[in-house]
Amino acid sequence: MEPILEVNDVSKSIKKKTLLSPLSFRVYPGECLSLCGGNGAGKSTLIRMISGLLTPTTGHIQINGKSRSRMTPQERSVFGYMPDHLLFPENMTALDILHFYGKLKGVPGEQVYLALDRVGLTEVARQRVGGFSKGMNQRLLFAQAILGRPRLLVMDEPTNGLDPDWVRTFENLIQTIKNDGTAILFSTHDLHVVEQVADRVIFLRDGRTLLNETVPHIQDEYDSVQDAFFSLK
Amino acid sequence: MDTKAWLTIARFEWKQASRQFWMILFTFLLLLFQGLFLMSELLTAGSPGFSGFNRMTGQMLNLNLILLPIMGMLIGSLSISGGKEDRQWQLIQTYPLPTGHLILGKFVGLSLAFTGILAVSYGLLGMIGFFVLPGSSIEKFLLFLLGSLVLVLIYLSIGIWLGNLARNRLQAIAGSVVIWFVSLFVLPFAAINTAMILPAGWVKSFLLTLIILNPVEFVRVSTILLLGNGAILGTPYYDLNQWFPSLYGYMTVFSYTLIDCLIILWLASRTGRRAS
Repeated sequence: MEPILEVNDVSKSIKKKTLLSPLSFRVYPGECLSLCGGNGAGKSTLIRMISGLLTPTTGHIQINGKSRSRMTPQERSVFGYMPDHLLFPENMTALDILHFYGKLKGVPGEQVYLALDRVGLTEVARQRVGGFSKGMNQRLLFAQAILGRPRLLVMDEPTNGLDPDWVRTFENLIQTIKNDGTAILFSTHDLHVVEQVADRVIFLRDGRTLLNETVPHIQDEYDSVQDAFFSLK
Repeated sequence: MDTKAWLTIARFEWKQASRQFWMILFTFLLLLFQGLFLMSELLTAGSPGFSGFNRMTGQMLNLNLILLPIMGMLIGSLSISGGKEDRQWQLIQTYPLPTGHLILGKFVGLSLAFTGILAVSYGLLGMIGFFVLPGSSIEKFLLFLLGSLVLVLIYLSIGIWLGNLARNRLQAIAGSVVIWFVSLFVLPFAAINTAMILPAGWVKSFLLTLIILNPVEFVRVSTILLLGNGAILGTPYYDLNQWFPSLYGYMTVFSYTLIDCLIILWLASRTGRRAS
């Protein structure tokens, strides 16, 4: 099976400061990879490079067999991205916003309603997002990322601001999306979520890879992902 | 990929702008200040109204030259730099569409918003003017409106470029104020002082070059010429005054605006900076 995402010796340095040491991994269809680590570990830097928002200092990234830096707009449509934080225009409704992103992805209108339904925002779809809580904003951001059924879904701390009920719903949604064959990569501080949905974990610290292993293997060796995280720390 | 992505962005931008407070504020500002000039004319017996370049239209033109460039640049630049700070700009860059579509969409959407502002404020002023100042001409009034639109379109595109170069809102505001100051005060001041020391044969070419380089000056001169009062500009403009107040003049204004906007928007799509 061909990987959807291939990261080869990718590193990032800014003004002689290393944000991320060379790192390699692959993510296959239907696989979920989680990036874990404290603040400043390099998770967001890696995600931004995969999203095309930052250029790697060394190495290269391939998505669906195409080099990230040379992807045409058409080839970018396989990609769904959820940043860690974003403020939507507060005078627009959730429906306006999702319709807009849906149109840009060439997604039919009914998929927009389906995405809103999946994240539980149907009832507030016609409300302005200026009055949304952080969790609602995060769910709208997630709905935006899954529009058009991307082949690769990349999320930066997607469970930030979600209440426990929604964390569980998020876990279920991730399972469904994985079962549809979408490759998923996300960063998080929530090790419980990792244990529930991830197939593989990469632990990062100060830009270096501490561990890159499957969840069952980690559970065999350390009992739980949480134990592994603290023993490696 | 949606091949008409720019249209989707333009519609969204327009919808967003139409719900923003700044639209009401700018409409009110233009109405208030231009209305004051109109009021002062009402108190003057035998006022010519919108019949050519006179005291009233001169004051209104000056106000346009001061207000519209800074309004256009601020809205254009903040639209993108604000998006960078709020991360919307970064998100949209991961979407399957070229940067050119983003830039063009923003420009078209915001241009429509500004056209709305001008249409409402000047529409109301125009109606009042025609009722109370009998000498007014619709053609001259529309010409005045055309000059305002040219200013807005050019400075809006400059603003969009600035916004794409800036890392945050503060840089965008600073850049807009600097360009506004240079366009309005530095270049005209430099023009007058340099023209005084240049050999007589060079003055005309020098002034023409400055007019082409400075949209504020271009709008000032072309509006006066098209209003049929080019004589007040002096001898260096004698040749221009012969052919400009005709269809050629309108074509020149149209081409100048189109070329300026296209060049600036093209540069904007090529030279972007990421948010800090």
